[in-house]
Amino acid sequence: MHFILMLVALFALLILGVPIAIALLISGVLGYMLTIGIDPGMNALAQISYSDVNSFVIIAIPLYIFMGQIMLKGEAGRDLFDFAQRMTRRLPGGLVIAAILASAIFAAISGSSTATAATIGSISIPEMIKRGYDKRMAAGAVAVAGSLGILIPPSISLILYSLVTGASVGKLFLAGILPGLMLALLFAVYTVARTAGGSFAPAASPTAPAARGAETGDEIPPLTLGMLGSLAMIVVVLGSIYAGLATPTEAAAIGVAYALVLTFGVKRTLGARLLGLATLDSVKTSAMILMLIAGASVFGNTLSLLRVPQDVASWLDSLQLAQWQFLIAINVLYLVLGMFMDASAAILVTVPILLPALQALNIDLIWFGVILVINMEIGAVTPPVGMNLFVVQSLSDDYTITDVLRGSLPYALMGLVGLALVIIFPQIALWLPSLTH
Amino acid sequence: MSSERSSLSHAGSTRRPALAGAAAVFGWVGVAAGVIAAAITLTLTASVLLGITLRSMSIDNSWTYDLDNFALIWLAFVGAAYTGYRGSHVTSGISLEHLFGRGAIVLALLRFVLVAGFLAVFVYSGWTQFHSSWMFNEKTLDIAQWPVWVAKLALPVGGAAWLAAEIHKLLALLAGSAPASTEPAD
Amino acid sequence: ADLTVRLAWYMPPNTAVADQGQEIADKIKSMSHGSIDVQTFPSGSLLKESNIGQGVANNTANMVISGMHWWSNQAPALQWDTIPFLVDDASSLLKKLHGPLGQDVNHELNRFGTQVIGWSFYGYALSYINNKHPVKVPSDLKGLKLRSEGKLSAQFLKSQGATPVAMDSSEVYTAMQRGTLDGGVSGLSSIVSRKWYEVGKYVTAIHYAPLVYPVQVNRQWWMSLKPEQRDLIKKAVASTEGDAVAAIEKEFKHDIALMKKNGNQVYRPTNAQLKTWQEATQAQARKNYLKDAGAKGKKILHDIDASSK
Ligand code: NA
Ligand code: NA
Repeated sequence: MHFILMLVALFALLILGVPIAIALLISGVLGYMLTIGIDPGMNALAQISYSDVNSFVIIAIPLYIFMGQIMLKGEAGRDLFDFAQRMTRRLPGGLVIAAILASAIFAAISGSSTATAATIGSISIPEMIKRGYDKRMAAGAVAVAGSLGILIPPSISLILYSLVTGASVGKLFLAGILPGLMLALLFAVYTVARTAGGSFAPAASPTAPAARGAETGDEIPPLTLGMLGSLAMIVVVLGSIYAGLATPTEAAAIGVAYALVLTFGVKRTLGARLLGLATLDSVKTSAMILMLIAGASVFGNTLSLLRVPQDVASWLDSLQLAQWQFLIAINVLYLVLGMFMDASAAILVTVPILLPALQALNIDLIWFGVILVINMEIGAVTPPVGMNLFVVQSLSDDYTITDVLRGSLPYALMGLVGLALVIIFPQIALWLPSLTH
Repeated sequence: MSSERSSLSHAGSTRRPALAGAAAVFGWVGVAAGVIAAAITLTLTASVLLGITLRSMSIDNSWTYDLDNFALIWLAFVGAAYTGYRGSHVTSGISLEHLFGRGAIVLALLRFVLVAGFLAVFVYSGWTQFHSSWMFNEKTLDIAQWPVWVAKLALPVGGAAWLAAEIHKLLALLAGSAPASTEPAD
Repeated sequence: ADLTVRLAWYMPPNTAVADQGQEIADKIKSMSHGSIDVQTFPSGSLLKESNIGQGVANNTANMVISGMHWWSNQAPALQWDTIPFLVDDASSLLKKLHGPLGQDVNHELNRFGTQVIGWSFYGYALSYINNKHPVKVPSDLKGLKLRSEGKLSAQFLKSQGATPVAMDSSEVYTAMQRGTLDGGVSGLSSIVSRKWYEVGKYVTAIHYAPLVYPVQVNRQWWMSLKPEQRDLIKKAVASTEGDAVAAIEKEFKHDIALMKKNGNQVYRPTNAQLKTWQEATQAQARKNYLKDAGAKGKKILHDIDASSK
């Protein structure tokens, strides 16, 4: 009953145009007050908001957003994509594919979907639009490919999953690599198919001369020092982790420092005024995402208090299904949960309850972790709580959520294809970890 | 869905100068929040880099770790006020304004009452968190032993600044001058 | 049911605390013949380590099992269980907790609106894992960069010439793998559940005093119950305490066996070496503890020492 009231309040607030973070906070605290009382609710509101934002690994989000803003305002993004254009010039939709590739590479730096989407998006989307790519396709590719951040290691979600299930983090990380690359490939294949068949989907193909030019061979940018410097960003950030200098979260600050040196010092494309703007704009985006985290945590906390995910999961458990039936049911459950909940919340709330069922049905926990995370990736681009939708939408004033959503949909469907492949062929996930024994 | 930029305001002509003046005063709070949060972003970057440096020189870095977390909290809640000032918190983007036509001002008022009412509750809630942390002399658990109220103070301060930003937008709207949120954002 | 109890803990499955939480729920249900229902919220699904204390204080959960040292950021006297070698083992500690020591702890927690109704244990605290060399005596810690846990452990590392590092627990795995850290300090239980043993070679397993996880209730809620309900719940919790003591002993041995099988070099200090650990750690930890905890700390240490002699 309280749950229904919460949902009604949430949707009423959303329709009225109240910011989503506040709508989640209001409906979450409302359900909480109805269940426990007004005074505890008053206490819990700020307390939960505080404790869920107060997490060191979240620091990567503002720092990677800041890095992206510096690269953007310092025009390093253009360098990166000029280079990507050189690399992918023979492919139709080259820049979209470059953005997907960049997301997959960046995912090896970042453990979160939102940070990946924000960084690659702030660099690539303006470039793609400038070069005449369909703006929805540009947004969709980045929103969905950004979610590779939690599948390709390192991954915050896989670490949480390991904590709850006892499955090895190392094996989970290995298991995420091939499915992550496969998804990137599926996204790229879709992009080629859409943009190559101009008659099949004219709206999705690049229309401006610049974009066509890349395919016909003229206007190919020469290789510059700036390009190499921008590319080296990935080497510097990854290198700092692999050399043991910094943790995955701290590496974001190294990325910021490198971006500053590159644009402020070497290329001199970023002056004091632009740096100020870059900082203010990164505040704007970071705080928006951080408040969504606060809102999602208060809302999710009340859902667990009302035992909504628990009830659904134990009901599934009670059906006594065969392995394949169970997996299908679970995927439906996670696709629905993914609409409303953040990945971390969904894992922490449901996996402990499903664990006995998984063990009873002899489902490999490493494999299931990968399946779960792919579901969460899709959840990041499904409304109403779709973090990557929000992130990409916030990157440009021209975007409405509907634009991003419609652009994401085909890529999300490719994600479903990838999910099905991993379910049918578990080796895609399990082959790499099997080599360690 | 889109961010909460209002389509109601008409840029240029200011019909009610007194209201516009009041709007400007509240607007300063929003700008100040942005400047503070920007300084905190730079501090956060420097602090994380310093933590890496200290560790690699085998020096205890627990104080930079605490500073990182404190900066994050201030960035989140004070930054949220600036995001509010810029009108960049994401909304569902369903545009009821079109249904209401000229009565859209009623919708804007209703939205203001909900958001501002909530923020007032949030300020109170944040204040109690700050206050109890202060009373119990709560400290971080490592050697640095920082007083935690410093971080928790961001809750009421950020909430109040956000409330000021919302008041600014409403006054600017009523005054007929463009609220900050309709200025080009990037 | 006449009464539904919300019981929460944050420890992951297959740990002593999680098993005891489930056992408490089952016992309350069966002993009350279903008139008291218990909803469990395991693994931080309602309250996480960062907010569980406030969660029971504001009645989000009526009952929680969480680390006593959680409160030490506001009540420094409650970090006494992180002082090494205070007691020989968990069963002798449990006896003391049922005497003046337990009353002192309860008294401190009452200030925050919570009350202790029974005891649970995390396991044996403060073992060491690293990738450089075996740590047999405290002086072997010299030069190591170790992720510390809490103030007392960081102070001890410093005194031995090691560098304490503050780091989020979720980043320690990658940091150990890549050499950002040499290792970390934690209970064996967490070294295993967080999988640090996969990326660290040398483990030093020490049978220190166990960390105390009081079973706490919201005081106002507790007073609102009928006396017979309070009685029954207390009895149910008490009936699980013996199993908890046995469980952490078993877990300690099991964790060592598991890591040995994984190829870790697990070292258990000899009695003579334990003496050097005790000499290096205890006097210093007591001094540092009393500096923060004052008279309350003195009373608590007195309770522990008095009843053990
Ligand atoms: Na990643
Ligand atoms: Na979603």
